[in-house]
Amino acid sequence: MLLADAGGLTGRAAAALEKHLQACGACRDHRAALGRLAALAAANLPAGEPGAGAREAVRRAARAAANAPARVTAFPRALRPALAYAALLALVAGGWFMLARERAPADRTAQLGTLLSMLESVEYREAEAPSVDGADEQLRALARRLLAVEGLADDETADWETPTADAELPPTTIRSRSIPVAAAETRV
Amino acid sequence: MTDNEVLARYRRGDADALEELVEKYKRPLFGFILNMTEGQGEADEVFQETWFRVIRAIGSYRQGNFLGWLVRIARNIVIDRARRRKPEVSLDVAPEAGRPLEETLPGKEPDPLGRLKAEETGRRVAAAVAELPLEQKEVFLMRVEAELPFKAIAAAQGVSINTALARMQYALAKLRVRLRDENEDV
Repeated sequence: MLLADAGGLTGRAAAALEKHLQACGACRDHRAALGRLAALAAANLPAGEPGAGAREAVRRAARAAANAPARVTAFPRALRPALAYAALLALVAGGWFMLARERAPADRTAQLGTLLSMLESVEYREAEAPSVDGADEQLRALARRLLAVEGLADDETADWETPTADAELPPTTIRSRSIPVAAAETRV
Repeated sequence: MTDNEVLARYRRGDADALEELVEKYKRPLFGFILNMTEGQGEADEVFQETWFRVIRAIGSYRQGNFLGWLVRIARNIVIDRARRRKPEVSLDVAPEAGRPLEETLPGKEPDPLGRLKAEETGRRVAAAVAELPLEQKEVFLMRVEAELPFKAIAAAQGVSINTALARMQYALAKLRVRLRDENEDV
């Protein structure tokens, strides 16, 4: 009956209820009593309207938010890839700086791996973006520099651990971090 | 124009569209909030916070009962505030809450006896509703104040329709006992 009175009963179920109510005085009385009770409560519960201050605050917020998207879309779409590159470069450079302050080589390697994987995971479709002069090359150069500084450069100058006979250390363990930053930068 | 059409206008930058919805739903929404809080001041805060959240989340709203969504947000705000409140403060609605002192005193209008009786009835109804368990009070107010269908009430509470119906049934049964003296018909 509650569901029916709330408009939530339709079709055969609603028809079945009405049929039952026609034959059952007790249920009819119960339904009427519930209706009177709800009406009594609705008529006597505290009622009111939001204050002018609250309404004005909502109005201002609504207007501010309605205008906000226009400002966002007004930003030149062509500059977004450049901004994304700049943000990415800042992120990688910041991460590299943090790495340089760390001591444990294993931790540094792991963090470097994380940074590089972040680089690789960036979704960027070149066909959809305008060209940004030199941005790709700058990014690759920075990545090479990071690798070189960390002794992970993929060339003959890389300073890798030579696996020892007892093979206690994993083959990728960095033996030396003696490559000065300045020297590393001259290689890229 | 449907609520979704008005919302679409707002998303396109028509600020007046949201004000139409605020105006349309201010009474049922505020009626629910007022009976779930402790007076006009707190109700105003919850009311505006509800709309602030609506504005922030307007992009995530798809289809359905918009008033139900409003009440659901308001309910969450009320619960959050109750959790933050100090334990010694009652979470129930005070019968006199939100009413200026002079309004609680007998007036000078004709038939003061009738007015006193009506006020006493109002106080007892409010007190009876306030004493309901929280979940039952929510269902009762969503149905009576906001006139939400049980489907929307169930969604707002995160329960099945059967559970919402059962809570309403319990609420009505308790109110019936409490208010039998007020009206022998109930």
